Amino acid sequence: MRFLALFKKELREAVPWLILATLLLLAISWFMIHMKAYDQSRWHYNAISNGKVIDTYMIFRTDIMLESAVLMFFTSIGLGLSVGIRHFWVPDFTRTWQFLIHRSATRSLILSAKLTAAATVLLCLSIAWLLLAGYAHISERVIVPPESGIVGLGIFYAYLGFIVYLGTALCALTTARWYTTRMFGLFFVFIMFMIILSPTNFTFVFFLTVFFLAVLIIQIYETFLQKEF
Amino acid sequence: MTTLLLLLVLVFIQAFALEIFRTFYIYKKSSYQVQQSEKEPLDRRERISRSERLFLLDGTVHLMYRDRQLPENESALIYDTNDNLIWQGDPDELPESYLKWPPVRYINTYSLRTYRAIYPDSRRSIVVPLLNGREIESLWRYEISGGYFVGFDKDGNRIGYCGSSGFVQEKSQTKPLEQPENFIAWMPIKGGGPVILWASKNSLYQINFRNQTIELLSQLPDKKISRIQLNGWMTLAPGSELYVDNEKYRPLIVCTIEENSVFVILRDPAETIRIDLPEESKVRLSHVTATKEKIYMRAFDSSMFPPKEITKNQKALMKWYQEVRKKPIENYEQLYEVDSAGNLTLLNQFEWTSDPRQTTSPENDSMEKFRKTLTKASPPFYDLFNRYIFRLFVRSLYDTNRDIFELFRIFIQYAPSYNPFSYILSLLMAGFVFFHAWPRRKSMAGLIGWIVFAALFNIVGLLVYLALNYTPTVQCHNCNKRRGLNTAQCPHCGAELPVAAPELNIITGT
Repeated sequence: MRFLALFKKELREAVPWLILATLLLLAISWFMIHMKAYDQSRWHYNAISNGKVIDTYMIFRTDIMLESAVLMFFTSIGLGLSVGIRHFWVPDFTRTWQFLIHRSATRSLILSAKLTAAATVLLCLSIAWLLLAGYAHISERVIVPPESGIVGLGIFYAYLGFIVYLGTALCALTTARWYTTRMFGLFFVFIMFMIILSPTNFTFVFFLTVFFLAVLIIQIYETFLQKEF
Repeated sequence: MTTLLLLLVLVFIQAFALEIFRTFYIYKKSSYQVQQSEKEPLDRRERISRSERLFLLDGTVHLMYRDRQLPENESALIYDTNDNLIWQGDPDELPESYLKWPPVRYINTYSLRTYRAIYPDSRRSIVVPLLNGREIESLWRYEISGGYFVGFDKDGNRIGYCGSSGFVQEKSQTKPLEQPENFIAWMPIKGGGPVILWASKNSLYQINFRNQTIELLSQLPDKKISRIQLNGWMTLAPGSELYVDNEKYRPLIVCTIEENSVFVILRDPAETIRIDLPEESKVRLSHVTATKEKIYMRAFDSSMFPPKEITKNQKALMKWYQEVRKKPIENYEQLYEVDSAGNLTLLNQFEWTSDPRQTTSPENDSMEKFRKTLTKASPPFYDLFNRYIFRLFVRSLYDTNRDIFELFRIFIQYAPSYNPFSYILSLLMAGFVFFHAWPRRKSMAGLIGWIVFAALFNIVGLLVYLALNYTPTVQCHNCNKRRGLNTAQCPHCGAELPVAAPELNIITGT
């Protein structure tokens, strides 16, 4: 019950950010999908004519949800960052301690409630993404529906948003000065992004992110349990 | 994590310095040298080695030279082998008497894999349009996960599937097409397109989306098709790019299977020929063309091609290259006639000698010197990793998993390459760690571990050690030696730290 109360409290604090991110994602992506569908249906392939080789660029086409996927990528990073700041940095833990005045809870319980709330928030964002993909599938304006790979990538981006959240949390928890190693958590996540964005082997990338996730969770857990508040 | 980050910072600094050097030093120098060389006249030997060999039907060879460096001399000059100028004019209007060969890079070699990056901006799918005039009739998208095409009509409804089993209505009936290594699409001159030549690792399909037919042109289960060339296979409009006159030439596809083996698929009449060059031959870059009467093969050989037995041994190959590159290069271009059984008859051979190849330029030497200086501070760990792990295990990932290979290669590029300075620096760091850690030691295993760590990662190792182990020292009250405050017992004599007497009141001092 104490976990549930804490979880609800953390979720309440993150919900405004989730609503903002979801609305942004849905509204802009809806517009982008319609624009692209319009282009797709009026696509004239002017350069294609009998007796000629077809330029390969005419055949390699972008997905209907490509621009939306780019937006989802940045939205999930932004959401992870803002929820991380909200949970661990600003306004520090003052609200958490107030909430716990008449509720005794272990540090592990507080931390797990925060992490579960953040995971739920990013899960909700990925559900919004799936709804958007569903809309692109059933929309009469779209000729070629989104590819399953790009829909899956959107969910993966929500997971990356959670790793950004962990990086932010580590930065907030560490007691180092800002000009020394305080920002190492986010720098660590930045390195992860640099490594994973250009490769094409998803399995390799996924296991790499699991490694980064594990390192961050261990660091956060240790720091949170030992920190003097 | 700190170690990894510091190693990355070091690599970034090295890469940054190398790029600065390349931009502000090498670039200026090389642009000056190019300007100088353009003015120098070419001697005959150089001109022959830069010429393209043209063959007449009887095997006579002529040399076509184009001075690409000077725009005013862009017209082609054709010489005979005695250096007499016999023709001059527009290179696109060569006399018809010369044999026409498929271009070296004929087929589009876009790898679908490069369009599957995690960041979506570069992601692309193969979508083939079926047009009615200017209007879309249907679009066929290749599904990588399933290995088949899915067709959508203009209202977005699914109209069918296309796999290796042909065009079907139900997904369950389709069999996957392998992912393409190469493919090219065209619209035949008489309509009825688009048609795609789909080359996977060891199969070659021709798919006609208008007629909904798929034809297996070739399948070599145990061989990999490394290169494909087409000559007149696509029925294109005269004057269009890649047009070949089918009245004179038979349509054909050349699949290079191995270094010495090509598979030729001919039409009008349909025929398949496998040409195997002798095992001992070093011939590369084989081209095949077929007139209505005969089939010809052109092959190139050079003293710069290593013997086969050497290619498997990396050290021997490097040594062989170092010796050969100093000598003039002997080149051979041969024209063969091919019969329907794939047997070869040599018609003519042209031999010429070219100057030794400059495999390293002064700019590259300067870059290499600077890189060596820069990597003096690199951890010896990279070098050991390169020699004992990378070369044995990671290099094999080049073909199978390029991402992991590239990740490791970043570090290998900055390996110190048995640089004595790097190892001396490491020993100094290890010595410093020893003197610093000795009075602070908690256990011998920990002490040895940190010394080894500093020796492997030199500067980075030392910084990580200091960041995690810096504790002040005091003089032991028992043995008078320096001891750290991180343990209760003195590492030298085992005496505990002095504690205040229990009756002492630190406020009143009584």
